[in-house]
Amino acid sequence: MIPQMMDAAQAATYLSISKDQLYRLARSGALPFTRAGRSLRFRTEDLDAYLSLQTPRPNHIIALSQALFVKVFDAMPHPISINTLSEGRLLDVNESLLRLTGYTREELIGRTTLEINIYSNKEDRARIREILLKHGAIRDLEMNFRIKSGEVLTGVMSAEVIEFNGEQCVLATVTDITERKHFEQRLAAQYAVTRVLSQSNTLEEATPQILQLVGETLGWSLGALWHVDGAAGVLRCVEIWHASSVEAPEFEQLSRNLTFRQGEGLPGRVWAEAQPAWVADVAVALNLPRMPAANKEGLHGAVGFPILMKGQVLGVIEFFSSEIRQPDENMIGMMTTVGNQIGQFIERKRAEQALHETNQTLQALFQASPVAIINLDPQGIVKLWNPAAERIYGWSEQETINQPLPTVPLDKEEDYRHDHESASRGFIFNGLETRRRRKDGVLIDVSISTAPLRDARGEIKSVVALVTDITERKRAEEAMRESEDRFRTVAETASDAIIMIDAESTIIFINAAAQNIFGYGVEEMRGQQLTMLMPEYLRHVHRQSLERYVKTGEKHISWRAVELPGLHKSGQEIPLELSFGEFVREGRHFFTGIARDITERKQLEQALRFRAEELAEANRIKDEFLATLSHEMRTPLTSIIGWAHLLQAGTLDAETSKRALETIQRNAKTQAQLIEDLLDVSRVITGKLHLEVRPINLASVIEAAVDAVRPAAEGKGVELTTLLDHSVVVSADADRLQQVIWNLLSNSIKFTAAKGRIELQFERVEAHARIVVRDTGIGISPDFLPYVFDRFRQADSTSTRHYGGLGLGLALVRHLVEMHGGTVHAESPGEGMGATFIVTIPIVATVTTGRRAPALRLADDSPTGNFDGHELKDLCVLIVDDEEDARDLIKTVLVQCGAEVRAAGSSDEAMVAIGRERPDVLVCDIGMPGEDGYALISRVRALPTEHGGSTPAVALTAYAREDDRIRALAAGFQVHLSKPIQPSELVAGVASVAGRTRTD
Amino acid sequence: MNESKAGMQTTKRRVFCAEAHDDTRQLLSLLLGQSDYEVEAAGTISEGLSVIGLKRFDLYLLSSRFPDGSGIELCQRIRRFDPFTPILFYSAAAYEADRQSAINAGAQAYLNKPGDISELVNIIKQLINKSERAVVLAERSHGEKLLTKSRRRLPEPAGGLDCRFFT
Repeated sequence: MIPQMMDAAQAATYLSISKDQLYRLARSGALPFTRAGRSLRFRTEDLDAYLSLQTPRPNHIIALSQALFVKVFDAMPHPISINTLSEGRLLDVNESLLRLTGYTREELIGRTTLEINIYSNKEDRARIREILLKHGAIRDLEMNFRIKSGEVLTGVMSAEVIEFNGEQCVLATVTDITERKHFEQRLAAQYAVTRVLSQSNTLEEATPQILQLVGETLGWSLGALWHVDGAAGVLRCVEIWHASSVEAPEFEQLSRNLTFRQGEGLPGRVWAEAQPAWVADVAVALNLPRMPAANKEGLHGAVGFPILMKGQVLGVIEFFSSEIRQPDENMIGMMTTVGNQIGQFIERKRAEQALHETNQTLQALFQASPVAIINLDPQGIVKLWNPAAERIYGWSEQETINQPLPTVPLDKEEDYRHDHESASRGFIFNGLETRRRRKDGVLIDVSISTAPLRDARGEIKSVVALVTDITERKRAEEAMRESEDRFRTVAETASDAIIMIDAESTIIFINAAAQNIFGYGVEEMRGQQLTMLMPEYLRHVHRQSLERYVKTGEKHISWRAVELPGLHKSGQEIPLELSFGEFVREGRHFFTGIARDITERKQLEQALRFRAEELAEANRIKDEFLATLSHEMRTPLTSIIGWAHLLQAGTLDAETSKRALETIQRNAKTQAQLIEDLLDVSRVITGKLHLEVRPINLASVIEAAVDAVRPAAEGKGVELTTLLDHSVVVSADADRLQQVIWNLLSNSIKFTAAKGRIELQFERVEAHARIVVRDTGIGISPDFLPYVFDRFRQADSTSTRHYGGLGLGLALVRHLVEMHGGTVHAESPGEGMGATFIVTIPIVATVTTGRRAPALRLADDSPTGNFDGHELKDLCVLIVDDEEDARDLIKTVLVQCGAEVRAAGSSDEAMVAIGRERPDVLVCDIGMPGEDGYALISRVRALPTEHGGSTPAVALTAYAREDDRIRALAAGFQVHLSKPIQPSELVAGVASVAGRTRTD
Repeated sequence: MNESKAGMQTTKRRVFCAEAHDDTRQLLSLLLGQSDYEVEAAGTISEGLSVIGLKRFDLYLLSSRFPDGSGIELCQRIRRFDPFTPILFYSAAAYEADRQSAINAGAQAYLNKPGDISELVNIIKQLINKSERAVVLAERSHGEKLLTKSRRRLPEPAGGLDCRFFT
């Protein structure tokens, strides 16, 4: 088998080992070789060797050889020609040559090489002839030759001079090495491009060389580089090269001025399709804007290819040739490669640029960072140490690089080892707060964040640590906490509410005291609107004034000690005293308010005001009283003096003189009574009024009083009637009770007009005597009723109306009745409807002085009194008192009245005495050391009746208030007598509880 | 006119006395009667008003306190219809404020009780004289104008008015 293609070495090998076969083939008449493609080549020396074999052939062989030669000649894969040496006229050519050149045998035989224009370089013919003449042979001369199509091929020619038909001829064989040549050119061009790109820093620097190299190497006449102008969306020519043998100024100019959109012209088409385009002859191609110029300046073949980066067209390179050039796949492939190479170059450059920039940035960051950046390898050795690290720690880069970290204090070493190990395993610390030591030994607080650095395989090679010095911040935080603590302590211990709001009136702080004031819990108030703590009607004003203040700084109210109502959770208003403060933080306004609950103060103020009004009223009453007093003193005096004056003048007749004297006497009495009343009131006020208590028949006392006022009533035409129970005996002061009745009746007469009526009724109601005085007078208005018995009061006591008198009568009545342990009150249906006065006194008066006695004594001015020795006859009385003098005094009085008296100095003694003696009556002091009178009576009352549990008891005490009386009665005493006490009162009291009434 | 004038010359000066205290009222009636005055006395304001509504007086003698009102009230009511007749207070209300309010109410003089009874009589006399002189002087210097004006303002009670001004 004969291979279709083989290189020269293979052909030689083949021939050298198969000479026999060659013969065999030749004998069989089969073609030993076929030429398949231009790549089948023979080395001429092999042919020579073959041919030399023929030389010593016998004749029968010669004939065979001739036939064989013809066969071999035509079958030779190498183009072979025989031409004359002199003219170069072709004598014979083989099939291979015809195939290579495209001519027919007839077109060549008989014509000279010059006629056929076979030499690309016409000088080649002369040069070859010269060599042949000189050496007789040419070996492996490389030359270009033109074939019928006009295409120029490259071949390697060997030739030798032979005798043919007696003429010196040239047997020439040529091996077409166009392909190889082109391959080499492409390789060279590609290599050159690679070299240029590798040596260039920028594309701008590389492109002129690339255009030139590619153009020259690949036989192009003109090249242009187009750049995609992304912004304009066009291709723009940035570089043009042309071969030195070519001039195409118009085309160049046009190229430089034109821009192409996608799809326009050759560059536009390449851009649009992102792949090479070949135009065999631009002179005949339509739709090319530069076609006329190309035509004019002899440009024909053209190729364009894209500069691609990741599929994106960055630019287009085009080449033009003076020749028509058929599309060459290999060249297109090569151009594609160049385009890609340039694209990769650009990409690499860009990446380099990017990397460079990134490095620059990182470097700047590393240098300028205020945060210390430290790189540690897994062993803890410092690999990077930036200026900030120097600043923070004091150690320089030189001191730390390739050394273990010098900044870890002893007590943190274990933590550090552990943390570094974790970081080296990939743990990321974010703001780890710890302590480090500076070079100068000072400890600082730092915040550390770490990130692992990994190699290409993802293994951690080192750890980057970012360190911030937070000492100041820590200190500030500490100071802040301290300040905060102080503030909280103050705020939480304050008894005033402390509230902080923002400009939107939201409560951002409120202290515990506010809970007590407003009733809400702290959590209920925080975050809410402040308006929740104010009454509805203040809310709008508050919002408006706050808003205005924030805007204009204009205050609506004073900020110091304003009084405003707050709103308690219960809905009640609370009077508050407020003071305000303000601070601005980062442009935001905050307001503080301190609210003090002034409810108590308000109440006090109210009470004070009330008291002041009372005082003013009392003062006014006093003034009125003095005016009245003056008036009431002067009035009778006027009559006295006036009538005396008339008497003195001696002009009066006898009757008138008598009337004058009566008048004088009456007015003098009136004045005396006035003075008496005044003194009585004064005695009451100073506690110096004493009662002479004796059992009295009250009816007769009343009658005496009625008799005294009857003339006045009759004189005024007022009817006075009485209804009296004559059987009632009370223990009381007869004179004082008469004074009471007299005053009540006088009052009624004064205010009752002629034809009016006054009724006095007296009866016993249970343990009380009840006296009712009812008149048909002017009555009492409901407003005045409560004040009827006040001193110096008279209804309408101003100067508008006047009934005379000091307004002391009823006041005295009340005092005297109360001194008897009784009560008095007035009733009236209203003005003009008459009035009723009701006095109630106990049958056995529990006498009070209205004042607390200074000490126990029997009233000085009343010695033991007049007792007949029968009042308490046969009564056994037990006196309990810790004071011996007191016991003796009481004993003396009681003995005088016929009582049998036992005495005890203490509660215990008393209990013994009760058990032994069974007294009829107990007279007991309340205030005793140890067990007091209350306790004693409780013990007594706890006894069975047969052991004295029901023994009647009289309390004797210096505690004279109503409360004390009630307490004594509640404790079990029957009667309460307050000290100092008069003997008669004591006797009456004892008699009363013993069931004895006076029989005299 | 002439008739009235002649009548006035023979008629006693009339004094109205308001006094709530019976003994004092009797005293004053007797005393002024002795001094040749015609006295009309009342014990209450309402009683007094009914008296002075019927007659003209040459002087009003008032005390301060009445069961149905004050002397000041009475004084003011008198002045509502009689701006000129002298009013004298004889009062047991002895404060300066009492005196001042009486003067403010239109009184000419104020005497405290008890004072000197004869002094009271003197003052009454002086006040009446002064009042009469003033009316004459006013008439002479200002002519009919003042008089007419004054008289026009006064209500015309029954009788007594004309003769007063021309005595």
